[in-house]
Amino acid sequence: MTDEERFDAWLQQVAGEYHRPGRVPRDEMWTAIEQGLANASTRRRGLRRPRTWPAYAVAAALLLAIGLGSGYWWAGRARPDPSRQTMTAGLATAGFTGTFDAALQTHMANAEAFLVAYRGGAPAGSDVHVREWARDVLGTTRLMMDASAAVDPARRLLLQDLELVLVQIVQLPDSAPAADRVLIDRSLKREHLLTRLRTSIPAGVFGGS
Amino acid sequence: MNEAELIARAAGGDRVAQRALYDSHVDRVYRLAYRLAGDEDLARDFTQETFIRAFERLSGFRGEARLSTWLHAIATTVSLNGLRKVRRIGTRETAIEEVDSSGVMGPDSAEPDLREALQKAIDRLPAGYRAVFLMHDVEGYTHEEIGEALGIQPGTSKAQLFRARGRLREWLAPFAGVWSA
Repeated sequence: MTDEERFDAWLQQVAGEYHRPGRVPRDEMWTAIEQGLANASTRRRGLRRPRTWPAYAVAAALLLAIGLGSGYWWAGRARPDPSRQTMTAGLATAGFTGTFDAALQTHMANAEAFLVAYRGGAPAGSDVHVREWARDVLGTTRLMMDASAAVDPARRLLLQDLELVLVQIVQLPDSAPAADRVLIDRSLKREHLLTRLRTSIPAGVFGGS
Repeated sequence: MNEAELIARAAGGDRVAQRALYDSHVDRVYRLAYRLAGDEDLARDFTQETFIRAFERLSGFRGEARLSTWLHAIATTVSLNGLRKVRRIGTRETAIEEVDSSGVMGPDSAEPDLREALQKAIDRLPAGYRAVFLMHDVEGYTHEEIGEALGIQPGTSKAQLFRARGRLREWLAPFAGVWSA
């Protein structure tokens, strides 16, 4: 047996002492889990209840859309104008699905751009800028999490996962060991964050011109 | 009732099914969290967070992996991320410099010192290596299970374990007589 093998065998014998757990506090933890699940459920119900300000915003946007649409329609009937038709089509494409949805989609696109840039590896010395950008995206992510988009559980989870990764990036010191960065990359991969962000952005809405 | 039925019920919010799944898996999840954290309160927090997340996402569990593997993947993510946050605010600073300078790793130290030196050496491992080492050598996970939990290839897990052991051997070299004997 080589010295290396002897060390490995010895290590496996003694390493069990490292952070040896005692009794598993099953019932205490279960009580906390039940409480946590109940709180999450309450939060979801609360989020499902339409909040006042987004409802007003969406109503205002819809009224504006109807008003503009009718105006263009009447104007179009009276005097066809190609530029106005283009404008109307553009507005229709945006769909007026609500100002919040549009803001969320813009944010998702921004977050995707950031993560692609981060994953691509920032040039040396640019950590400060990366963190500033991450902080911006993180702030907006948290605002979005507090707002009505979180009604959709898939979006809520996506925002939560995004928040987690952004927090890690923001907290990464300049001299962070490579292992820390690898762990962030793993979180990105494991949560399929980029793929989920991409699929959350409707094709054609923000792409190209 | 088999596990697939329990999962289906638990995904629908059935507390009895959730408790049954919890009872089946909590010991191993807690042990892993405790090994990684080394602190009872943190281990509890990480275990609770793991199960809350798991039950919230259970409807998305497609059964491609075993439930235990899926749970351990969540547990390692929660624990490693949680530890990173704790470490950042300085409450779990490992006095790495002290390991080398305090003399606890001296060759003349008695066995309790060796135990302490081993503790500090494991603490000193990079997070990824430490997770692989603890999961494999201490908790008995296979490289396949570790790979799935940490989102790495089994070969990477093997390589990291090899490096982790190498570093420990290097740092504990003053005690070489103990395992060579």
